[in-house]
Amino acid sequence: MVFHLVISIDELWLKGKNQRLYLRSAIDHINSVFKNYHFDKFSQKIKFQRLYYSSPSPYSDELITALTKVPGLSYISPSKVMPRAPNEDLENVYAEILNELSFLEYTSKTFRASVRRIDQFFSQHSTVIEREIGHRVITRYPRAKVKLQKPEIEIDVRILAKEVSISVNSYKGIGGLPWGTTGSALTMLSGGFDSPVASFLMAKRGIKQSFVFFHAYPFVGREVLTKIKKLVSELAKYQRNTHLYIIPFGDIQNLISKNCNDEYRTIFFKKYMVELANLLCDRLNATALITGDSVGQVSSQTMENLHLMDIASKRMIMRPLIGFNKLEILNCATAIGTHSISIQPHDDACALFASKNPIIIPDVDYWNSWEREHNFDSELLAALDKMESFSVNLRGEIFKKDFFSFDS
Amino acid sequence: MKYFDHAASTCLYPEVLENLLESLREDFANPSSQHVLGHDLREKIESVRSRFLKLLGAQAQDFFIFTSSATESNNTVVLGLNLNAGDTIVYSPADHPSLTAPIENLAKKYKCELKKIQLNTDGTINLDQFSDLLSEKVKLVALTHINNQSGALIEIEKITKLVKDKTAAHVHVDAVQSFGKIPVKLSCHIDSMSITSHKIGGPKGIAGLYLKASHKVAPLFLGGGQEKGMRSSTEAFPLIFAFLTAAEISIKNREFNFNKNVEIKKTIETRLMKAIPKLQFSFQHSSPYIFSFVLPGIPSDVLLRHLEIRQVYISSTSACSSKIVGYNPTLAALNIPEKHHKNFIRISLGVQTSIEDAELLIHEFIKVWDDLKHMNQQA
Repeated sequence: MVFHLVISIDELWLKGKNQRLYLRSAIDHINSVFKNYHFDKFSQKIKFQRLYYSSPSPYSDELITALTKVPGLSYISPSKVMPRAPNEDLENVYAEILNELSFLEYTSKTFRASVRRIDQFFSQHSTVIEREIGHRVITRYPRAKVKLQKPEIEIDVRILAKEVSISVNSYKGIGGLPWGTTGSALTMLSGGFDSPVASFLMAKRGIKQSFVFFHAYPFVGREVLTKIKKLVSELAKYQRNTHLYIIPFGDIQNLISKNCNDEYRTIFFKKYMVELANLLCDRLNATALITGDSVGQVSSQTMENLHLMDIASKRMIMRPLIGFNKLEILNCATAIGTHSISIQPHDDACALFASKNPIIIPDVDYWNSWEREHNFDSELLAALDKMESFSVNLRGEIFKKDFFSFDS
Repeated sequence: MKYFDHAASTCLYPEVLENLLESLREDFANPSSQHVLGHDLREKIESVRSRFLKLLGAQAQDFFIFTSSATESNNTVVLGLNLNAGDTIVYSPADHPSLTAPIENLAKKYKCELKKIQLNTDGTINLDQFSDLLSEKVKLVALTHINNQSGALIEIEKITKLVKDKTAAHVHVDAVQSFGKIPVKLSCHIDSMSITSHKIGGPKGIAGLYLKASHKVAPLFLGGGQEKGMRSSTEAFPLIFAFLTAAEISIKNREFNFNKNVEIKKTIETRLMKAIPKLQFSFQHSSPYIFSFVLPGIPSDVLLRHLEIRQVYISSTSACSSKIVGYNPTLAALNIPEKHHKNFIRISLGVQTSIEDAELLIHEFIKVWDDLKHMNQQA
């Protein structure tokens, strides 16, 4: 028996002359997922903008799950191809379908069967075969129910000249554009719910990302790093490979809070994080920053305060959540698997220093004069020197870099 | 490195390490073996056991069993007494979780009644309230000689006598923070007592449980019947031997170290109070080895990490439960208001702590305070 996997690529029809590039990026990414999760030989063909994988072994759930996280893929459909018996006998096909549906023994699901005769000489009519399949499934699994519109299970049978292909399920990919086709960015993670979702949304748009976390040790402990690593581990599954940079920020935070008005602390912290992130982008050759900002969510996210961050950044700051409600963000976090990590409590240095009345509409004169009077360049560079770097593979495994290198 | 977390664990005496290494190399046989190697180890274990009974001032017919930790010793007593529905346990939620957790768990499972000991603001037992708790139905009274968080000391003789005058309850004492540091003397009012090695310069993985000859405690582990059937497991002779060495050294130098630490504690307390008037010391009647205070406004874990980068090590709450943030039931039982639970600091001294170490602690502590006090003004 041969096992097939049909993968369709999203948005390829939008790309005129660049189709080859997009297809190539998607294939490279899929192939590295195969190398990590499929341990038998496989072959690959491109037909009508779809990718056809064949292998002598079945595809594991881990492989399928990993593929559903590859940006740019719209559907992943595993199928089995078996030789056709003589005399238009389909008994072995029916048996195989029932076998594939064994999970219906314990769960109740809706299904429909669709049969296509690619071999025009096959005399039994498709609808007859469909009805036969439906009858056999219901008899064998009384919990299953037929539903022709939007069923939970789609039994797809194609009758070819010498073979029959059977597929009982198709998995939806995240769609969008293949990894790295739109450019690279640095995502600023905080440990909360928002930034991981922002990262996911931009991963979907094909942006290759690295991650940065500002660690306010000794104001916060080391426990938070475990949480950040767990988040990056999850987010890395939407990347082909990535990096995590941890920049010490406690000393800078203490310095800022000693020197500025209480209510400006948080936005000055953010400003210097943005500056540090830009310095890191210089080294990484990244084009933009990604943050989880959503307008008006907290005091530092008023339009006025966000505008100050734009001025502080020499790069575009991408804020995919800008118009999202919190509930929408939380739902997305659940769907991508970061909710359960973000919800774990952690020390937050910003909360530690937070003023009771943080500024909402900043006095630009105060901001500008403070900026003129304070120069933290040497402190920022020192922090960058003490940065810790990790590389992360597409399985989400994190490795500490022995020496600093920027070959990302 | 300046270490002020000796109540969590302390370093080995060099003599202990030497004995331990040699014994690990030489005494590899199984004490239950029939041959002469096993037989010799068995005799050695019995002589160590009687040394411990002597150190504790116990009777020769009493039991002293070796366990893996004070947690095991406390659990053995609480779970081994076969308490039933309706029996009453008197205990303090201010005690170490190795006592409170099995007691609370047992009460839930077998529907025992729990009566909580109230403490005075200085950490001592409120005797009037305590006396009211005692009735015929009380089957276990669990006490801690020196509280591991506050360092507060209880008048063990007076309190245990009070219990025995009014009830027939089993009286258990956790003496982990007192054994080897202040005089610990058994009396006829105490039925069992836990002590451990790693708080007095011995290795981890070995502890002891004293049981009065007339005890009714059933063992937790069944098997080869070692430790007179009270704890089946092959005896870890090298650890047992190292534990004794540590105990004997500690007791030999007990008075000297006690007096030295009284002075060091006084110095730290007065000097810190002078520099930081906001500091609140509330446990006056306490061990010279442990003292704790509240510094309002600055979270104690932030302070701990600022001191740690200066290689000064203190404790924010008990090392066993430092993951707990916010409300802390142990501190609540010690009468510390909830708003200060995050500001609780413990400094604990060891036999090695010198006045120079203390000077450095004071110096660094004040430096960190100066660096962080702007946080406090806000709070």
